[in-house]
Amino acid sequence: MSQNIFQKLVTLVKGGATQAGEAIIDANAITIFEQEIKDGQSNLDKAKKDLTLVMAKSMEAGRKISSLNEDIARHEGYVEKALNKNDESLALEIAGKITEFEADLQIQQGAKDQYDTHIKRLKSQIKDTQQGLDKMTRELTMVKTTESVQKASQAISSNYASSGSKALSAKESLNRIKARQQETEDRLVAGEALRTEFEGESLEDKLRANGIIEDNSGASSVLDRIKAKQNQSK
Amino acid sequence: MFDINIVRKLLAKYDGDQGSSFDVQEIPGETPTFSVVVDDREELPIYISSTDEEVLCICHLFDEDEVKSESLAEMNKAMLSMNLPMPLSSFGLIGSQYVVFGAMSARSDIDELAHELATLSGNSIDAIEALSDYLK
Repeated sequence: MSQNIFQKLVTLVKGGATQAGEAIIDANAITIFEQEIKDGQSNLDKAKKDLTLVMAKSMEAGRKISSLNEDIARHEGYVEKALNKNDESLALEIAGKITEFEADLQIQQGAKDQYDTHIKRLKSQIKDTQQGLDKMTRELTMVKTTESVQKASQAISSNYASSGSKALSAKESLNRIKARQQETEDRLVAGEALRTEFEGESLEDKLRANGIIEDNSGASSVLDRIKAKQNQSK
Repeated sequence: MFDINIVRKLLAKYDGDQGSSFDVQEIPGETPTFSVVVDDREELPIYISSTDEEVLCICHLFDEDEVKSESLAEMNKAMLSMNLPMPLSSFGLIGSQYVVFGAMSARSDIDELAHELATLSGNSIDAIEALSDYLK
């Protein structure tokens, strides 16, 4: 988890382990990574369970605290009433009861504070674990994608190596392709030249070019005709 | 996921704007792979394979042993510089094979694939021409 996927790849490239036909990321590493994510998830589940437990305890302590506060307030009322009746010893006895409540209150408050601190810690722990898990899951997706890309490119490479393509060097390939392109172009040019030579210009074309045949079907001749008509009617 | 069988059918009868022709051959194996010859350039076939995320198109340029050994470092640097201006494709290395490749989203359509293949094929020729001084 300390290295990201690209660091792992670079490390492997440096180590010369990326010959075609060799997996970049071994299946074992993926299994370990998946196990780490699984462990992280079960830690997370446990932390969440702990959190609900501690939150329940904190709520319980909170309830006890408010009930103790009520008891104290009620007994303070009793003390006042006893004092009003000038029963000092009863007042003192009730005051003694109040100190018991207060001692209990202090204990409960201490416990609640501890639970609350624990809750805060658990919550931030859960958040961190969740973020870590998300990151690992993203990384695993990347690793798996890399692996399938690797497999795809290997399938291509092994086929390429076994095909005849490799017999030609890049320069030879280029020359052959260019020669063929040139040939196609030459053929097109030659075909065009032959076509004009064989078919030749038609007699009509020649006559038209010499002005022997007048071109009277064009737009300009139509326009001339209409103009002539207009002049006649004036 | 890009269904490579559909791609094969579509490319086989594809008649695109650029007028490129595609001759598609299936390559048997565990991972579905196709070789495509663009415009009769059979010397530089393009191989297509796909993962869940992307369609990978690869054209093999040359082996490292075709490179003049004293030029290797300089050529690698030149290729890195050419990567950015090269349309759609990038250089890569598979083992000792220099390749030019394009990776597309698996959700790309057939026109985009045809355009990718035509561009990649053109790039492969341009690249070999540009790098030929480094080659033996």
